[in-house]
Amino acid sequence: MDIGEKLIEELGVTTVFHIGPIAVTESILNQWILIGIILILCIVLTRNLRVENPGRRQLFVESFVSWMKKVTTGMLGEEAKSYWTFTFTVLVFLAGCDMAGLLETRIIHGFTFMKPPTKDLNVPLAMALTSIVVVEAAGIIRKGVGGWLKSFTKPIAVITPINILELFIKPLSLCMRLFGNIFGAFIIMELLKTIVAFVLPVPFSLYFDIFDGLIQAYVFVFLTSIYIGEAVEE
Amino acid sequence: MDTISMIPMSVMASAAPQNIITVEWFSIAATIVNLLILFFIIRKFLVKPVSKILDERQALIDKERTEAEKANQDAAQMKQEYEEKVRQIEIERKQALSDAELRGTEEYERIVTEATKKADEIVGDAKLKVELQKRALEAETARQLADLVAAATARVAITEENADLDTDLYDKFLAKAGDIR
Repeated sequence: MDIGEKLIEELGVTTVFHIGPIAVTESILNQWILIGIILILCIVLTRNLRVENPGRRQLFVESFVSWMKKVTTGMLGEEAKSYWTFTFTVLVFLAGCDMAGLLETRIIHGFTFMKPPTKDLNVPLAMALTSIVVVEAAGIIRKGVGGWLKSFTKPIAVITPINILELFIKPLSLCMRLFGNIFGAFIIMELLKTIVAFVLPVPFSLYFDIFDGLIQAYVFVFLTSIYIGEAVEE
Repeated sequence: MDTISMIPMSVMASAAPQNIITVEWFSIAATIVNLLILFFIIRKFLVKPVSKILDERQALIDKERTEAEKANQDAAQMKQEYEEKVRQIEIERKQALSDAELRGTEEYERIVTEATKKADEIVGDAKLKVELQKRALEAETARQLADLVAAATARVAITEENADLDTDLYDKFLAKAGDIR
C-alpha cells in the first residue's frame, strides 16, 4: 500500500456502526467519548467542594473556571456576557476535538481510534451553524424580531444585501477556517507518521495537535463572541 | 449525494473510504446535539457548582469583613470610652490632690494659728504671773519699809524731840512710798 492510499484511508470518515438507516461515524463516536471524558472530569473535579479550606484540586477548578469566565466574558463584552457559558462550552468542545489526535491509536487496519472529529467537515459545519443560530437568537432576544430585521439595514440601507450575505458568510468562514486548519494539520501529521513513525512527529504533534488546535478553538470562539457582541449591540 | 452520505462507501466496500469530504445530515445533527449535551453537562456539573461555591465564599468573606469592621468599630469605641474614663480619673485625681493640698494648707494654717495663739496665751499668762509676783514683792517691800519707818518713827517719838520735824519727815516718807506703789 503506497502513501497515497494510506493517506486516503486515514483521511476518510469511517462509519462505526448503524442505528437503523443511520450511520454513526467515528467523529460522532469520538465526540461521545470526549463528552464522557469531560463529564467524568467535571464530576471528579467538582466533588466535595468546600467553602472553607479548599484543596489543591478545588483551587485548580475554581481558578480555571474563573479564568475561563474572565476570558470569555472579556471577548463577549459587557452586554453579552451572559452567553459566556455557551462560548466556554464551544471552546472546551473544540479544544477537546482538535487535540483528540493526541490519543490517536490505530486499532485495526482501516480503523484508527480518536482521529480529531473536527477533521470531519460535518463537525465544523454543525458548530458554525450552531454559532450563527445563537448569534441571531441573541440579536432577536435583545431587539425583538422587528429590531433584528431592522438591524440588517444598519448602518446604511445600501449595505442591506451585504448584511444578508453575511448571515451565510459568517458561518461558512467559521466552518472552513476550522475545518481547513485541522484537516491540513491532520494531513501533515499523517504524512509524517507514514514516513517516520518515531520521534520526528513529536515536535510537529506539539505544534499541530496542541498549539494549532487550541488556536483554532480560540479563534472560533473569539469570532463567535464578536458576532454575539455585535448582535446585542444597540 | 444524500444517499451516498447516508450509507458511506467504506461500509460497503474496501477499507479505504471514499467519503473524505461529504455532508452527512445525521453527523451535523448529532454534533449539534452533542454540543447541547456538553453545554448542559458543563453548566450543571462545572459552572454551577463552582459558581455556587465562589458566591458562597464571597458571601462569607463579605460577612466576615462586615463583622471585622463592626468589631473594629466596637474596639475603637471601647478605646475611646476607656480613654475618656482615664481622662476623667486623671481629672478626679488632680481634683482630689488639689483638694487635699488645700485642706492640708488650711489645717496647717489652723494648727499654726492655734499654736501661735496658745503660745501667745502662755506668754501672756507668764507675763501676768511675773507682774503679779513683782507686785506682790513690791507690796511686801513697801510693807516692810512701812514697818521699818514705823519703828524708826516710834523711836523718834520716844525721844519727843523735834516733833514737827518728825511729822514732816513721816509725811514725806509716806508720799514717797505712795509714789513707788
